[in-house]
Amino acid sequence: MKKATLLLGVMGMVLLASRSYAGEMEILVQKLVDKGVLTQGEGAQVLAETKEEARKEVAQGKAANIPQWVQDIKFKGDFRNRYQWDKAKSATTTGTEENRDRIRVRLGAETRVIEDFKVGLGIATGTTTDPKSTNVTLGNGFSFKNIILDYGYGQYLPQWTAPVDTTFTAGKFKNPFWEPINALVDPDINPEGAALQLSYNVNPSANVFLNYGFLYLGDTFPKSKNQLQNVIQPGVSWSVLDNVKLKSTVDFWLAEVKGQTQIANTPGTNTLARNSDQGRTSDIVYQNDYNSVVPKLELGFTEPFFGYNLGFPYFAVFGEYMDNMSASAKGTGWIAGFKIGNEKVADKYQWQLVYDHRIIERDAFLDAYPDSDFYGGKTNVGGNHVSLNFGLSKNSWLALSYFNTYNLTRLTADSESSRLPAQVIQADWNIKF
Amino acid sequence: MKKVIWLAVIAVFVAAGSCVPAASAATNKIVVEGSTTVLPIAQKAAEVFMSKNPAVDISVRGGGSGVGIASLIDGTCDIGDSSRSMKDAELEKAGQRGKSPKANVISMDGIAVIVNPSNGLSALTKQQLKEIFTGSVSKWSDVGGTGDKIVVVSRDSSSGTFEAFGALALDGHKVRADALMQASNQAVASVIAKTPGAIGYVGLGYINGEVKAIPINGVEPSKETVLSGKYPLSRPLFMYTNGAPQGATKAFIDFIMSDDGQKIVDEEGFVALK
Repeated sequence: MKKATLLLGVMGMVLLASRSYAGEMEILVQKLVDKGVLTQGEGAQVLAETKEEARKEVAQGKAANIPQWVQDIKFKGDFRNRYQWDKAKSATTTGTEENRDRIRVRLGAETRVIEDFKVGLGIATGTTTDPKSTNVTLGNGFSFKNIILDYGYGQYLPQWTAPVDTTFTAGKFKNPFWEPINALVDPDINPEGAALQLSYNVNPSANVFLNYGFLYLGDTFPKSKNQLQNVIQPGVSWSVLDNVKLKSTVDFWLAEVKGQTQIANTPGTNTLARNSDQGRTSDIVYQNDYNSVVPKLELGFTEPFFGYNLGFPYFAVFGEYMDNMSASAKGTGWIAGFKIGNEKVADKYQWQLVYDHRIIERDAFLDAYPDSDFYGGKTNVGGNHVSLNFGLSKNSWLALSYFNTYNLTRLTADSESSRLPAQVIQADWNIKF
Repeated sequence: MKKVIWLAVIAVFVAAGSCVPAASAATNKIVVEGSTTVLPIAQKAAEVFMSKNPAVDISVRGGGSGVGIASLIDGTCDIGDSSRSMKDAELEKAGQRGKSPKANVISMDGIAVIVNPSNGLSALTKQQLKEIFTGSVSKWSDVGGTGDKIVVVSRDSSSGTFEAFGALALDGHKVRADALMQASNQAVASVIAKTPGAIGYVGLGYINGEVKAIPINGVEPSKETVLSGKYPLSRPLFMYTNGAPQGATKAFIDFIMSDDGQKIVDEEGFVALK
């Protein structure tokens, strides 16, 4: 005990004395060694550790001349140039074609303001009326393009909850809910409200997590019935074997909007009707609540596949099923597909092929969410999607995507073409930093 | 009916989750990475520690001091092994990333200057050593050795031993361009053992019967002279952690500092602090 107190005292003196009295500290430590209070090894340890501590304080003091929150700013962003071909049949045409060259630019920054608290914001190209797209189309006489606020949030990451990693986010933020591919929730959607994410590593190969979201869908708050979305997503990520990984969740997307007016900027493909209540016949209102249960799963295999090398490092099958418990009809859907190639395209010559088939019935899910590349983000749709991504360098890749989609409902009972099929081909060049 | 089906789905899901191996199987994982000089201590200590603490899983990797420190700053390891002090730039970078590296000295090491046993050289001054390694002196006859041309053998630049030797022996000057750069202490010792005109440097733990250690400024490289600070080419060996070590990491470092841990340090040929 006496020795420990002395050690602390010496370390404190050396730290306080820093450089000026370092020589005297060495003499003092040597005297303690000579008197047998410290062993020679302990003396060497004390001097070396205190010297390093003093050096750290000096070095980090240099960096501290700039406010810490400025030093901690992390920027990220990306640029995408997309050539897009669309062909869509309508009720009155046999199919109109459109060719567009579109760009997307996003820039984001995040910093730790004080211990455990972060702030982030991002800007992007796009329009304020389309929450599912940050594309702008080139042309139109060299017109200027709009920059919008993509997201802005505050985040609390308390350390006292360790070993459970906790993140509380409020504002408009990146979608915290996992999905094997961006199908049911468009990747451009940044939810608004608050989210709580909990994650716990059960052991080195397994993680359990819980994501919760309290989201604002409409701007009617605080009317008598609010348009709110609650999302609960418990899940597990587990390396079942050395080269077999499983990730799975059961989501509960709960929105009690029956009788509420249609949410802004939605395609209106859920079941809607004119409101006859209280004489407000001009309102178009939902005929159902949207309390959808969505189990999701991705099962991934890395090379070697049960002892066989097949020339690619990763293969996965994935699936999602959705059931709106509040819909009496047309309330289910499913997505199933596979990934082959690299698990992620993160470097030169890496590649990934993704295929999936989707069926989303009219009231399976709130139409505010689905991927806008797939039949305009509507519900009551089906079809196929295939994408091939190819890495050009560490942060640049090409992507080629094809969507072959159709309406689940025929306009004319005996005519397949009355499903109004639509095709989209996208050729992308992406750069991110 | 629907609710019953979904309750069943959730039950299956929860059951699947409960199939995950229990936490007690291996709750604590420690990743140790860095200096090849510290590697044998870390490996042996991890082996003994895990045998006493089966719930702790320690992964030990080499790669060099620079790699270990970079991993600590990036947060990809729990302990960054290093045979040199962190550089100012590394400390600044750590600060910018919100890291506060804590130097845990686990042992001392002397950098021994070695020659082939057939060489008649009996001593060098630090100045002569510097002249040999920077290229000012190229013949053994100029410094009292036997043979003609001096063959300089050095560690490669990613090594902490290289950094420490440059600072302790060469005053920051560069090793001559025609030096034979080796990837490990063992490789340096092997080249010296096979090459009569060679001179090189290794950690104290790598002195063996096939090479001859040379006194510097009249001081033999030994455990006693290293601990007392009399030997001019001595250095501490570090296990850096982010802040004061905690949990399993603290328990592991405490073990290394214990009598049993320092016995391992001694057995591996380094200078124990106890």
